[in-house]
Amino acid sequence: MEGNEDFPALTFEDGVLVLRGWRSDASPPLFRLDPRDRNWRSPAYLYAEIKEAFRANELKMEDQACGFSTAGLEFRIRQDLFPHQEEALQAWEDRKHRGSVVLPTGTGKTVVGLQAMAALDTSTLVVCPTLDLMNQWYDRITDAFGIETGILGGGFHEIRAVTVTTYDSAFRHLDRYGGCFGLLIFDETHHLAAPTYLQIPELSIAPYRLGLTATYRRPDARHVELARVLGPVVYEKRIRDLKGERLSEYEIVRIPVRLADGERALYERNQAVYAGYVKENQVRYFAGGWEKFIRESAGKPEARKALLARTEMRRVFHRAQAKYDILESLFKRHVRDRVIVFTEDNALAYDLASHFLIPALTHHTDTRERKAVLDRFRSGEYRFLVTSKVLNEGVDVPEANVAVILGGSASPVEHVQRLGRILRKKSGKRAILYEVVVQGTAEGNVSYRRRGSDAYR
Amino acid sequence: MLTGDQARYRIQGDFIRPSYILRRDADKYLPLCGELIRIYRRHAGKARSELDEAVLNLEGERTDYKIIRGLAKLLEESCEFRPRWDMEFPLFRERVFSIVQKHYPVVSKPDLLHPRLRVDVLSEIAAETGVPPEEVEARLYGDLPDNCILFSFRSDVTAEGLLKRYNLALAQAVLYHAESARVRIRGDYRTVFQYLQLSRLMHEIRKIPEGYEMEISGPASLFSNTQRYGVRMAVFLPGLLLAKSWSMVADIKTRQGRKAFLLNSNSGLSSHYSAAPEFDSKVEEMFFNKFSKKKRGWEIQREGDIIILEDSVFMPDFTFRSKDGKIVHMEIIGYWTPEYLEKKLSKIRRAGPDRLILAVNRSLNCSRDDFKGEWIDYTTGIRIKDVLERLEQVAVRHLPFSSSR
Repeated sequence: MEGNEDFPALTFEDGVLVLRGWRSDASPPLFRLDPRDRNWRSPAYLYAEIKEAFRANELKMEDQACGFSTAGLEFRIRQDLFPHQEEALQAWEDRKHRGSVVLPTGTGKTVVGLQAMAALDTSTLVVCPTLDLMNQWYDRITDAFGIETGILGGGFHEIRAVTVTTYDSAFRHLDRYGGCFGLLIFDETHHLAAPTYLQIPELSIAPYRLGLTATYRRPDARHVELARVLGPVVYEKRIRDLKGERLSEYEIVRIPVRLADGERALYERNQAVYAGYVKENQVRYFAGGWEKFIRESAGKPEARKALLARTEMRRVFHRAQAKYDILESLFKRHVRDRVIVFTEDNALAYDLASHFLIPALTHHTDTRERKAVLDRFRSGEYRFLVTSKVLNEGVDVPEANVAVILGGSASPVEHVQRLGRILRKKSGKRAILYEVVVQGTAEGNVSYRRRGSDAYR
Repeated sequence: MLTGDQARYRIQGDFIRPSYILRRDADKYLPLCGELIRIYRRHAGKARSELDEAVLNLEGERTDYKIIRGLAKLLEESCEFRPRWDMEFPLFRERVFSIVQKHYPVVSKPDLLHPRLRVDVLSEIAAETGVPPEEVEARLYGDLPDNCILFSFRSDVTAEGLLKRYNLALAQAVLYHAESARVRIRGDYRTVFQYLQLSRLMHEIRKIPEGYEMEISGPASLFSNTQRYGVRMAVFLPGLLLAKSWSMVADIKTRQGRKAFLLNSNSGLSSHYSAAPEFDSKVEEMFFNKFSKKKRGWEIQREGDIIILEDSVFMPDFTFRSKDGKIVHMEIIGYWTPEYLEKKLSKIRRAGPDRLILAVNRSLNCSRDDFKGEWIDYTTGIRIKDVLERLEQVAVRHLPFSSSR
């Protein structure tokens, strides 16, 4: 591709900008001569600056890099904004539509993102840390604008004017699609500061960039890198500034259940192997001790046996028959309510789904089916559903008023807090959260509790 | 290729080395490879979960389970998994759930308030959907990866072949974290450059006494060190392995800092890629065979040299060397499309036609103005006599090789 006779041509090729047909002896601003093929190249993220510099110096070019355009984003229903959301948007607009908005969890960050999209009305890529969050954005965008939203990741490879993706997929594919979007939105922006992910904004020509997070600062101070590729923090509000605005109350009911005799025997047999090794070798669960144990399992036969025993213990624990029984009675009790069941792994989620003939949502559920199921749950056609991964923030179903956690025996505070979001309730009715706890042996409990949140990883 | 966590390597000092399975361990691992291949063959038509279970059983309490998982990953690349039933699963689920929601909850223990048993609901579903009641549960999530069946296992790999593939895959996995690589190479240029291009890598090349040295990286490497192109380098490696004489030093980013990964044509790795055909056409092959049959004062080499241009390389089809060290190249233009011809001619003009003989197919209707240098034409075969004549003419001028830009 040569530029037309008078102007050099700017193209987006394999993740970088290339300027062809530059005839002057002076270097073009912000470009570097590539010794490998004598082409002028520049990182994609400098696109807006390059255009600006060319304008300022009255240099001409033919822009073949720009692959974004008007996207026709109009809200189906007018959205009312909270004051903090309006202030955040204004601050972002004042900084040339570049920068991060820092708001506490559950205060409507997604709404800020949707508003930003509507305001600019340009091809947009929304990048999320997990498939669950990606799915959630898909739902929100599709509902808000009534458009077909593209998906890159989780088995989909479909680019549209508005596309949702994950950090991993964006990292893998943006050297192809970095020219297609005018606006990038990064959800949970703090993840972006990891060295590999930082290349995502570098690979895109998007002039407009929005970061959304509740925790901008990282212990490793890498967040300073974000300003370079994303812009500065433009707006920040702390949780105490907003308290009482949105989170609802709920009641927690703990239900202890026991392992059946056969299960208990199996559990104890494995527990003896595992605990024996842990004691003898003084395995520690912190300061790299656990990683060391995993490494040793690829060398020491005893360590390998101990690790397998632990896996078996967890399996017995997670899939105890008692959970099926208790769930049946909870379903009976709440047959008029909207119940979400959380499991710790996909296998149990699907077993329960097949047993009770109710929908399961896991990372295997594709984005479109997931939306259809959640829509039916919201409308009340489906009243029960089961999903895995309690700790993910991916499920946001205010219509649910009963949650059942089929957990281990420990109860990390944070998952209870996060569930508070799921159970956000409009109608003043209190939500109930059941925590089904399997009582192992006394020693088993101690070992589990000591591991703390590991059980919920 | 392996997943990142299946990589096995050792870091010693400034170097990183894949933990290859060595010949002395072959006694242990060849039977294992054989057993694994048998497991895959045996599970054709069976559920993926059964296959995974069988592989897990093979792992047992072995501490080298990482090797088994890696080998299985390589076999999986020849597998096609499909649902056992050909049907619209999301649609089926929708129908099932909308039937079931009338009978919430589905219970195994009936009571006065909940008299509908699970079996009753299943037979209602069966009646409405035509799916046998005993299959409803299995079909409900029949499209889950675990529930799919191994539809076909297309591979004739032997135990030894699998072990070789595995060692190659270990080297590739180290390259995932490569920031750049320097490759020295002598000969087989067309094959190597073809794979370099296919892997979407860029190079900076220079002549060295033992051949050529290339610095390999990707577009954005110009601005900063990045591991972005490590996977591309891993894809390129089997292409490089096709060359007979080469060596490579890759800079690998590890948690312990940057380490060097050394590899060369004696490393014993083998490629599963195919080499470019030795000759592009019958005309080239016939000419080469005819020319090299006799002693003519000039030695003919296929792909003997690379001419480095500012922005690319030019690989003449043949290079002739005289006893006293004169070098003349020859390029055959037998095939054409307008773009191909334009590109080639531009390259030849820049390569400097001083020491280049062109043999042009008469049917292309090229004119004298298209080339500055010596050229001969041919119809069905290139005449040796014409070439020898030109060789002497070019050599007599004793021009130092220079590019004319």
